[in-house]
Amino acid sequence: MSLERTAAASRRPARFTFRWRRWVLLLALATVWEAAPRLGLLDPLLLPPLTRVLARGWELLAGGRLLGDLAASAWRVLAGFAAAALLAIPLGIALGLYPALEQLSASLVSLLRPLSPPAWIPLAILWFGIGDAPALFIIFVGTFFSLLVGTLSATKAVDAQLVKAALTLGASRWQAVQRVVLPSLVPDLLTQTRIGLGLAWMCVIAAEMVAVRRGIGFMMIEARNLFRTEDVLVGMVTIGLVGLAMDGFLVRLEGRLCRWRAGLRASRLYAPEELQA
Amino acid sequence: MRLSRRKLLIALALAPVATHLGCVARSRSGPIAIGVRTSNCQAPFFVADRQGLYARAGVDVAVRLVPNNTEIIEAMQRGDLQMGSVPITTAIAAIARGAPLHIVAITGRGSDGLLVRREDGLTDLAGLKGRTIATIRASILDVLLYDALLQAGLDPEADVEMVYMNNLGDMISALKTGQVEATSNTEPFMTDAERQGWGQILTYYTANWPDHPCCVVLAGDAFARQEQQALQAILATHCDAVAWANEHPRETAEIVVDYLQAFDPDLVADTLVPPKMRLDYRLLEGEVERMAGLMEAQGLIEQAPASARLVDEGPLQEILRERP
Repeated sequence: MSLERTAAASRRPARFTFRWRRWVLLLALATVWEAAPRLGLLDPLLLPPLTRVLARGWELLAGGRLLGDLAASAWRVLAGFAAAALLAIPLGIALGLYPALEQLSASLVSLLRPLSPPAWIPLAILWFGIGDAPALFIIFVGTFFSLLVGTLSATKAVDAQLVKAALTLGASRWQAVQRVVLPSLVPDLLTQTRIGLGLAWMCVIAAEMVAVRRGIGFMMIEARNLFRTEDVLVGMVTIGLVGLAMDGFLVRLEGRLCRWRAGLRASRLYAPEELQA
Repeated sequence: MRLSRRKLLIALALAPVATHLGCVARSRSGPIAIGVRTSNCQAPFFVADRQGLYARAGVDVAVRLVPNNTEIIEAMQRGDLQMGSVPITTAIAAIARGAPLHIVAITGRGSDGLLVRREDGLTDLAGLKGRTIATIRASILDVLLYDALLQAGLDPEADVEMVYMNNLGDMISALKTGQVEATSNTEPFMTDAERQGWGQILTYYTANWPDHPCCVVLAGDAFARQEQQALQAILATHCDAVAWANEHPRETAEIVVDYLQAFDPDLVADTLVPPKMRLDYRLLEGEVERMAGLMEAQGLIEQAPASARLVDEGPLQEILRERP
């Protein structure tokens, strides 16, 4: 009994250290951020002190502007990403299952994939006019190819033995896709969703250069034109926090849907004991 | 592990010091760098650079093309540029936010207005009621459009629909394809649209504010203080280049086209002269303050800076005193 107590006591500082370790870097960064412009080491026009940014963030939040812009951007991100996912995931699976289709489309995908979202702006205006449509299109093209290539690669990596086993046991080709391929893809699709949503938030700045009047990207562009660096940083932090929240939600979802995968993770072999705890 | 973390924290603490020292070290080891935009109204800088006028005046100057107005200000803040030329509204916004800069001259007047499609048959500003107008938020095109609409008896917030875009070419495309019904734009885009047959210049903003300034010359306060003679020499060269460009619009247009790698020399030559625009260096009394007032009224800046904070006429006046 006393031995167990001693062991528990010896573990406590390690857990305490681990819990706080993640905040040390952030805290140090925040201190440097606050101190450097105040001490005249950095130009406040280029980097205002953290407290000034936080105060401005609160002002924008309390005034309702930040939430309005966030809602406008979130709607564009989710709608553009959903449209990309609805098209890219089935297409990626089809290309992964049918090599002839993959060969047919490889050149086109390789040609279009490197084009950055802002490069599509002139065409987006010509094709979709002004308002939300071109912005959604830019988010769509910014996430579509990443999702397509990710899904294609995941589909190609599905264990052929499992599919063969299903077919041998009398499953039709469609049933094998439904019962074996799609469940195998779930973890990778969730990872692709995390990557894709991150990309969609990156694209929203470019998307909101096009004829919109609300949105975090629009707010940041306007702020930059007027040298309101605080507002630019508020926009960046907001996007970061929303991205973090969305990612956290997807990680939890992944944990629930893919419990079976936890035992397979190699990271178990490398992670410190307290991290696993 | 403990040691590396400590090193990391020390490195983080020293990062801004290193950056600061880097900035100090960068504060001019080579030529005096002047940041200019890819625009018609920067013609005096292109002329001075091409004709070696800076070298003749005894100053080592590098004219650098910068793709964005705000980048010029940011580069001046970092010490990468000692001088710059940007639209007057960009300069006022930067100074209003505390940038240690002063307007020391201008580069030109006019050049911007409202472009519509010929087929729409619009004849005056009042006809814009209920229509969509493309502009660039918080730019000189936005400020002058806002003022022109007010002077025409229209409420910019209620009577028209503003569509904010990010560059001149996109606004022209949007107008040409009927996505918007007007654009607040500049030369030579507007005359180009007229020459192509589909565009019609509804008005120049000089109709509301004759001879309004478009781009200004900025000098960093530290540079102006430490290198007064160089600043004088650059401004004197600027005056000479403006005079030469006004006397030789065709040759100037060829130089501009060469720098911009866009447009046709005939088109540019046509748009460098009145009534479309006029290259100039003089600062007229109260004009910068008037623009700052318009920006304040539009809510783009919280408070218009005091005149002494915006403009330093001293170096230019000294040059003009010595000239006939």
